[in-house]
Amino acid sequence: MKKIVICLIMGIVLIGCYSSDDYYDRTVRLQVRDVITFTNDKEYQVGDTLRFEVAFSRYLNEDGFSSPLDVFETTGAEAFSYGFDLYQYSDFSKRFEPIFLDSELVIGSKGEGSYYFGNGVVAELNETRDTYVSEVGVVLVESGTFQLDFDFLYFTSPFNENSVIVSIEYVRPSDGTLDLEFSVVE
Amino acid sequence: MRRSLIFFILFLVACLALKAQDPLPYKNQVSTNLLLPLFGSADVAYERTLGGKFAVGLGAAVYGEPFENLTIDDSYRGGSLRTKNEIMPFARIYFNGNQKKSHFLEVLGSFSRVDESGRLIRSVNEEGNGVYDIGVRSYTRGGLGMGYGYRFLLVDDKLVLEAQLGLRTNFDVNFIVLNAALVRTGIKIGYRF
Repeated sequence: MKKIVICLIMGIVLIGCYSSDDYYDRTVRLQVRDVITFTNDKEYQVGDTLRFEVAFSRYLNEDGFSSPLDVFETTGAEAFSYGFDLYQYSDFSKRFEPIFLDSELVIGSKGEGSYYFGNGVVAELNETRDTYVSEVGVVLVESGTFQLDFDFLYFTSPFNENSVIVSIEYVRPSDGTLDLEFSVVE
Repeated sequence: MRRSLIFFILFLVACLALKAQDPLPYKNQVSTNLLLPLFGSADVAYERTLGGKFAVGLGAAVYGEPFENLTIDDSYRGGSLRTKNEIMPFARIYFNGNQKKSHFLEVLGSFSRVDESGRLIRSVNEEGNGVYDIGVRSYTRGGLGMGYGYRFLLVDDKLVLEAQLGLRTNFDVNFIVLNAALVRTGIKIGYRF
């Protein structure tokens, strides 16, 4: 009888360990492509400003649904924050190393208390209120070989405990059309 | 004809003899939990005895809001859960068989209707676009549980009085202890027939 009881308890515990693991913390996750425009001149002078633009619709496709998601009505967010990275090639390590930019060298709207990786800026809802846009400039103050990096880039609505959060992952084109490496000379 | 009549009478006599030797004159039982009404809830259970020690049955319960005090699965995924009603098929083994006093072990299944608040609910607005809100989602979930109790048979074995402790988890949880609930727990009174 003891064996039966032990087997029953173990069976229920094991079944209890089964989990769907669909914890989601009130965050809607989406993906976007082709939302970054960067015209790479390949060679810049010290003092030039590197520029790129971000534009994505407030109506985004969502996997599994035929109707696009209105991220503005869902979140009420006037702006989505995100971060980008800039790397500089180091002869010491023979690889690109991250640079943390002084905020004065970054031209563009910057959110406060936003959640992002890297150098933080925001994409704001435009006047026609149908597209989130961001025009970013980086003042180049140092010579060398650099690389912009948009991997792990997420556009995130402001955190609010009582509202829905939308996190939009930027998916970089895999065909190499977004050339991000450039050099800066004196 | 006469032979058939004799066989029929012998068959009846045999059945009556078996009935007279049946150690389980009452194989059916209905019962209810006396404590659940204190928590704005109610349940009823039917049990069928299969043999000397085994029985199977079906229980149903409707839970009021005070019942949430008995559960530890009311916080879940950042929201809160409320079990509204539940159907529980169960099987029991009575260690002392059909004696007037017997402790028993119970294994139960569970199909419960749950309201989960704090969930993301997607709807389509007038413009045909999807919009998420935080709201309440109702769904059915399954689970398994166990119980242990003690049964008294009173008034010529027709009246049942039992005490039981039962614990039930569900299939959406990470670990049994974290999302367990007390079910089929309390003092029960029943009638056998």
